[in-house]
Amino acid sequence: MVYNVCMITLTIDRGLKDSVYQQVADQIRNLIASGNLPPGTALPSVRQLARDLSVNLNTIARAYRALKSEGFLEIKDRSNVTVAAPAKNVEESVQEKLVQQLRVTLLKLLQAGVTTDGLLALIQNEVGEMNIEIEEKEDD
Amino acid sequence: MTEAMVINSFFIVRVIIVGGLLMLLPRLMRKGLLFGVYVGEEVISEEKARRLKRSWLRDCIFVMLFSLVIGLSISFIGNPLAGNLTGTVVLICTAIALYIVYYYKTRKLIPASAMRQAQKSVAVLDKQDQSGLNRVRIILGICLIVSLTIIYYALHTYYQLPKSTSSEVPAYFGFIDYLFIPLLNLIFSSVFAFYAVFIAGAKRTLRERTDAQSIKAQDAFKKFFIRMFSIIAVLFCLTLSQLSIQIIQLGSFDIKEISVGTWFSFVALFIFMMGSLIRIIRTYGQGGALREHGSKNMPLTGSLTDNEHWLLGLFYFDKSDPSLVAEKRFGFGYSLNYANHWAVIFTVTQLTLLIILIVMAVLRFAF
Repeated sequence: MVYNVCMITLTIDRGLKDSVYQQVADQIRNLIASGNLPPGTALPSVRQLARDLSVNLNTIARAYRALKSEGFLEIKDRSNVTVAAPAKNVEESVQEKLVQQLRVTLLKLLQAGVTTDGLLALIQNEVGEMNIEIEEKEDD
Repeated sequence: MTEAMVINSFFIVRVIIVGGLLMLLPRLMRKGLLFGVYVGEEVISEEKARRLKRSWLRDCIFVMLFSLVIGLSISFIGNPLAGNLTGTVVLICTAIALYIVYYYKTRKLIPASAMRQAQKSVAVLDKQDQSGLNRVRIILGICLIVSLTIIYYALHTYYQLPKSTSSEVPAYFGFIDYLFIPLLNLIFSSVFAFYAVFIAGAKRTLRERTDAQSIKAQDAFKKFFIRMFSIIAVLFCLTLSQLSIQIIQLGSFDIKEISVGTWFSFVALFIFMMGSLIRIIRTYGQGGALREHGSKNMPLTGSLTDNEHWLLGLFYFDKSDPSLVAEKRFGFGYSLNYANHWAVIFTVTQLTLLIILIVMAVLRFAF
């Protein structure tokens, strides 16, 4: 019988400036975006992950709640957490909020000296790494 | 073979087993750990650490010889039992003292980088299978029910005995005789069953950039311990329940002597425990140390690297860690997290029951 070991790991470092919950949320988000955690993947329960990382239960609960509000996770209860599939139809209010955040980031990059072409190349590069299959929508 | 020779042989074997284990322990710990201290994977390979390990071997041999000389001298002068007991006490005390000396010597080797590792933790993003946990909970439930039922049966039988004394009722079958072994059964079977439950919920302690082999090694070690403690709990429950019932029947004149089968059960239990110990030493090492290959030079993370939360490298105490148990840094298995109130409740309960047993034994044999 083959014993399949899950090799996807999370590493937190209390010495960094970012809070622990931020590190957990960022890493899970990146893993989902890169396709390493496909939709439907069961994640460890709050208790299990808190124990494994030796952090407070509330820290992991906070990270999971943040990811749920962003649409990355589905949480039925504390022990039943799965990766959510991307939404089929984008909500206008959600899109508007995220575009606003994107605009701020783009302005910061421009102010830091990145050119417009450089910006486009950056965006293409990031999207390419996310392993997203872009479905072509039919025009109505 | 005289009785003195048998007693002395048991004593010599005990000294060899304990001494041998002490000598082997530093080699069986996970790389980076030395005498209960995290010194890092680089320091462990350096000459200072190797010198400490060599002198440890030499000092363990001295401890063994010292306790043998004391124990056997007292045995040959007068009382073999007193010699046996004294020698064992000397062995335990000198071994503990030796370990403490080496613990403090090793603390001087801690590099500044070791403290940095204590701030890192690694977890695998998998949902662990709970069926193992449910199985050990069932075993715990069965052990508790059986041992409490035996205690009830012992008390019920005792209070059903005719009040008037008769020359046919042996003088030594008092309240303590009826209750001692059932209480021993409750303590031993439940301790091992509880530990199996605790370990089933234990976390992995991984290295940075860990590989699949290392994760498998941790999981295999944990599964082995769960299985071992569950079987020991069941064996204790079976043998001590058997013995309890036979003592009760002996007191009621239903049988004339304890059956040979009961003593064979104890032998089987002892053989199983020794066999498990040998398997840990040969196959797993502590925490799967012998099975870590590729990533064993990567830095450890988590509770194993945190020198400030381990008392003498043996007792774990971390309020910010929600775990009930943590992998030991010196020795085999897992340590309770004494900052967790359940660990304190469990320890106090077991100690209380043990003290009751000791008091019962003193009352029974001294008066």
